[in-house]
Amino acid sequence: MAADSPNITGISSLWRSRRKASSGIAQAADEAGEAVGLYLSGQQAFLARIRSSRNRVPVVSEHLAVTLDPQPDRAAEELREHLRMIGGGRMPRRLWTCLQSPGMVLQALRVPQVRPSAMAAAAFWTLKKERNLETEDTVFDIERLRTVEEDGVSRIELLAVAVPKEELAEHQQLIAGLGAEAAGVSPPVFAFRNYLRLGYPELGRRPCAVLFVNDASSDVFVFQAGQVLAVRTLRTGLDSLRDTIVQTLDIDAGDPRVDACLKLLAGEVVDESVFGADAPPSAEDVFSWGRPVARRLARNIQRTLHAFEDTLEGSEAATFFVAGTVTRYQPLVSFLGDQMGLVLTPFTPTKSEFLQDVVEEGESPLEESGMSLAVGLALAESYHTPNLLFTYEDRQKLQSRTAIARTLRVTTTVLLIVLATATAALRYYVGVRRGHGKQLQRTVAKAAELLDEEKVTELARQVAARQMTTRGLAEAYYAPGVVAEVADLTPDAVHLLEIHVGFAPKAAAGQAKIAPKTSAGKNAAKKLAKKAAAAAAKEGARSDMVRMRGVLLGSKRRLDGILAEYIFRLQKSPFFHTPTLVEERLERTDAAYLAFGDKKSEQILFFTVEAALREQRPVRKPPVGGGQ
Amino acid sequence: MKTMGNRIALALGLCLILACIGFLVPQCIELARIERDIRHSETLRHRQKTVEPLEAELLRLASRAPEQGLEAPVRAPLDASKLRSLAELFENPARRLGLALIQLDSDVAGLSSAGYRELDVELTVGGSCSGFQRYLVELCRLPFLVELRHVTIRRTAADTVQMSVAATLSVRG
Repeated sequence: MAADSPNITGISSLWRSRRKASSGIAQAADEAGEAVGLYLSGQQAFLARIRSSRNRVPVVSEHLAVTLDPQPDRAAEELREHLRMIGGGRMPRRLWTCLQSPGMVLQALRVPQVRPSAMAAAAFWTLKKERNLETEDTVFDIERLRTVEEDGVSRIELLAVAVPKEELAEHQQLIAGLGAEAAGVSPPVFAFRNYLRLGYPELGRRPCAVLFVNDASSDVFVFQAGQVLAVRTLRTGLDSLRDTIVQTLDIDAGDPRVDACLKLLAGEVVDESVFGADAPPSAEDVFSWGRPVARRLARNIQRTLHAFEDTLEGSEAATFFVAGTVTRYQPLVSFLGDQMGLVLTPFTPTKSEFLQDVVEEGESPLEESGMSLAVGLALAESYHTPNLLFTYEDRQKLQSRTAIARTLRVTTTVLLIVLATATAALRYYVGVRRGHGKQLQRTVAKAAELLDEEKVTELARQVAARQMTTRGLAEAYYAPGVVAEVADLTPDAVHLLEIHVGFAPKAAAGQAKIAPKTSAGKNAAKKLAKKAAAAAAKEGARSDMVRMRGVLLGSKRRLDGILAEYIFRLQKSPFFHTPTLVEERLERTDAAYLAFGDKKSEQILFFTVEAALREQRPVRKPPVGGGQ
Repeated sequence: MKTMGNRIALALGLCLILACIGFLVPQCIELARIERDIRHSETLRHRQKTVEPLEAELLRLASRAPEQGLEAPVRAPLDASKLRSLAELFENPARRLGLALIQLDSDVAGLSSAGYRELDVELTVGGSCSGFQRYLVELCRLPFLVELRHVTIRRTAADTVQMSVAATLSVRG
């Protein structure tokens, strides 16, 4: 890219191929997207388009370095065209630009451990103690760097960026004048950081510094482990060299001889006619004029670096890059390096394995460093980069909203899964229970057919009627039943002499209760009651009872067995209970006098057995019409 | 775009959740109804299981053959005018059964003048044991018998047996 060359467009075909980043390489993109970076340095404009996807190395898909027309209107028109070209026929949607403002404050701060949402406010008030900042006049952004120990207290180290709102508004107006809208505005230090992260991944493990020396001011950026460690802005720039030339030649600042001298210092061809009759100075002359300026600049830079001696100078692996306008003057760069005792490496993509295609052979270091900045700005979408248009507080709000959305999404998903599972399970369970219910209903219906209520009621009525009949029969024929039971239970060997069945006078008492209420009836009732009491006294305490008196013939052992068996039979009968042997008498007998039984028997056993009748005999109802 | 996608996904998710809830609620109501029906059917089945043995028992009882040769006597007091032939009322059945009425004692004089009255009688018959049981059955069939107070069967000699019965009769008029 020669200075007077026409616009050059480079397509990094090599970088179009998507390269999967290994986990150990730090330059993989944090975010996916496509962005364009624009860096303006005087009449020079540098544009780069980056395409990146998560976990992959970003690709420089297109880049462009142009020299704009000195006329502002023409320059704006040219730049608009180039922006459309780099945006693929339309204005880039994600355009990042660089803001270099004298009013910009870039400072590393240490704030107490606070929650993320309060960090921006803590940083602002910490910075306000040193700088005259006003909330309403300042756009403020921070980038968290690391956590450090300070006097035994854990603190957060961060990089604060503050820009007057007016300057940011002017910058936005400039971009808007091009017909574009900036998605992000960032200081150059982050463009360098992004560029280093992509182009020099090995620097992620060791420190480096970038001396960004321009006309108006100079910046010293210190990086460590891929992060910005410190930023120092010096008010001294190459304008001092221009002032020295003006003073030495005793000419006006706008005299063309000043630019001619600077070109001589840069080793470029100079039109000697601008010097007129005077002999033009040599490059060595110009360098000697500017030597005090360079020495003063070197001392300032050295003092700045001294603060980071432990980090940079103590490390043999530290790399010192030089970028900016100063790279145009190679003797000056060498002199600065000699003065500081450092090896200054031009900040150029050709030194990077990943980015060497974005410049071509023979391009000046100045243009190379400009393209580096453009690439670094375009990388802002790929790596987390402070954005003055979208500050830390905005990001916090977005993250909060994103966190809420994520929580909602996860909750919704979980709820959906749970509900779907519950729905399916419930549907299945309802089906199972419905089947069970139907089967049960069929069983009930089938049983209901067999079990007719009317039929059961009719059966119950019939059985009740039959039981009443049976009960009436039992009541009526109780006495013959008892006699028959005794006859059935009595074995042949037992000869009964007497059977006595006694019944309690229940009927008399019962009749007395139901006697009519007339005087005659009352008398009859009294009489019946008296009669019942007398009968009860006559029958004794045992009312319903049976007494059997009889004899047994044979030997004593045999007789006892027969008697025991007889009593056992009586005990098993449903008519009797507790049969008791109340008398037992064994006598010798003369067989000649026996009218029954074995005539050979020599012994006779007289016995008397009593048994109570079970409570089977119901109280008799009064005869129909009796008592009326 | 991402936000829009999130919103659409959330809206879809919420719609699905609402749909699930809309499906779940009727299912829950349906399940509650089914459970209620099942409980009702189980109650009915439990009752049926309780009644089934009862029905079987009722069937068994109803299918039993009725008692033969016995009938429940219809009770009616003895008209006082028939007290004169009281001995015949007891002697006739005894004679039919081959028994002999040996003695009949009654307390006719103790009867009250009017209304419902009871008459105690004591009788003795002689004969065989099998005849005694049938005679007792005949006594029990008497409509004016209130109750038997006691029955005594006694062997009085080597080949003679007597049965004494004390009974209460109802008398009207």
